[in-house]
Amino acid sequence: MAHLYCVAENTGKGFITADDSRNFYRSGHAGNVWVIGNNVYGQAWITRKEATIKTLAEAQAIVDAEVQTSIDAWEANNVEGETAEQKVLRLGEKPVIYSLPQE
Amino acid sequence: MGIKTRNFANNILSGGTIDGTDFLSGTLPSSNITNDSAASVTSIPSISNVISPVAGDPPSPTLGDIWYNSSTNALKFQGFQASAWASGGNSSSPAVGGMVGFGAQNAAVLAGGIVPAPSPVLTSPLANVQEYDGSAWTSVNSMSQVRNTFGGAGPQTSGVVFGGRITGNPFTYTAATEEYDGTNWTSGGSLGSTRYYMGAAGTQTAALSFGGLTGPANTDTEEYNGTSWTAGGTLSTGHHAGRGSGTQTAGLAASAAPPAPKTVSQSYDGTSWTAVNPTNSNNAYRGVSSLGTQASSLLWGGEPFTGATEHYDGTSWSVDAATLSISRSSTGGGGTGTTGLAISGESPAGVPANQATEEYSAGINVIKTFTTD
Repeated sequence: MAHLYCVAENTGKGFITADDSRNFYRSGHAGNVWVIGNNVYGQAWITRKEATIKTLAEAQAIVDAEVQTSIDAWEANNVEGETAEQKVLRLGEKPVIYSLPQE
Repeated sequence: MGIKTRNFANNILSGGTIDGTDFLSGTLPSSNITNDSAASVTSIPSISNVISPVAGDPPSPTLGDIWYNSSTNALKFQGFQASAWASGGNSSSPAVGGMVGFGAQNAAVLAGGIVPAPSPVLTSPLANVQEYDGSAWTSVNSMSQVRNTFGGAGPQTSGVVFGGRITGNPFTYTAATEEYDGTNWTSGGSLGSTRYYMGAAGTQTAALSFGGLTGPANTDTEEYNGTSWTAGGTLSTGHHAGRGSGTQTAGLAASAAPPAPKTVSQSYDGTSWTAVNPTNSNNAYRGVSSLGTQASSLLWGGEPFTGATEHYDGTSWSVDAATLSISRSSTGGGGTGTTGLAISGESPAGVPANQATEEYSAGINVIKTFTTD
């Protein structure tokens, strides 16, 4: 298994160090979901941060729910007479459901 | 594989033993090398025979140098530490987009942006400002004007912001300029035309505004002298959401939002823009090292959401090994081409990108110690 999935709050400075970045894969997602490279350094980071381990399915469900909330808000946010292009300029691209990195 | 040069080589004996008597230079026969490692070597002489002891570390070792530090009894070498992004302090700005960042990695400013608002207004621009000291963000005096998607440039203690969108629905825009001295905001001269989503570069007394929207993406450039704006050269490719670094007389504009090519890159000499090699990543709404130069600048993130980072060396953009931990777009951008600062931004679901800060450190040569663990 190349990746581990967990939930941890980004506490800011020092949350991920430069050495962490060099030593293991990491990517942050909605719902405080983190995908962490499964090696000794990544495992140690999860322990250090007291992160809650999730399965891929559990982590994906958390992210999907967050993104769906954003999609609903985006779709409901309309200005009369506004073109689709103008809406994108105003709000940015419509959020999309995406898959977390897998092993 | 061919011949591989080793500092202590030319002395692999037939039995696989390294003879240390002629170790300063030479070649290893390819038969003794497999997959970049010496093979069939059964023993080596005492380290002191092939690597001279040094009392301390050499003052200016070059990449690949190996020595034995007799003071600390450690075998050392000059290695390379790859570039990396690391977490910085989280901002407390409520902005979910449209914010602007400028300044240095340890002395930056995050200004403006938007927060969601009830229909029919939908979004409310902010005047909020926060300063970063390399560890934490602190709220400071607000701008006089609420803004989002505006231009901002300069160091923390002599910054300048201009233009932008100033209301939610119905949307209105400004040409107004404000100057920041690290404490207070004061009014500056107004842009020649009202616009938003422009690129920005330079300093408070020598700033650039280029491109942006006043309808269709435009090619206009304006130059600020600390008092007033005057027309500059015309962009080769009109665009909005271009990212600027460098100075008024040696500027760099990179990346753009559709319909312009997202990879467009142009340099400015104080008079005219010239197309230069395009960026690698086909992403819009990227972040930039706003204190970078025409010879060294960084771009990161963008839409489609990515953490990809690339560096400009004055000639071309190259993909950097480091990637943001949080893929996002529209980050505020500070720092230089070797010390970038990604501030806030937008991601598919807002959180956790909105308040996250990441700090870039360039790859450097460092002294490392051989270990057996």
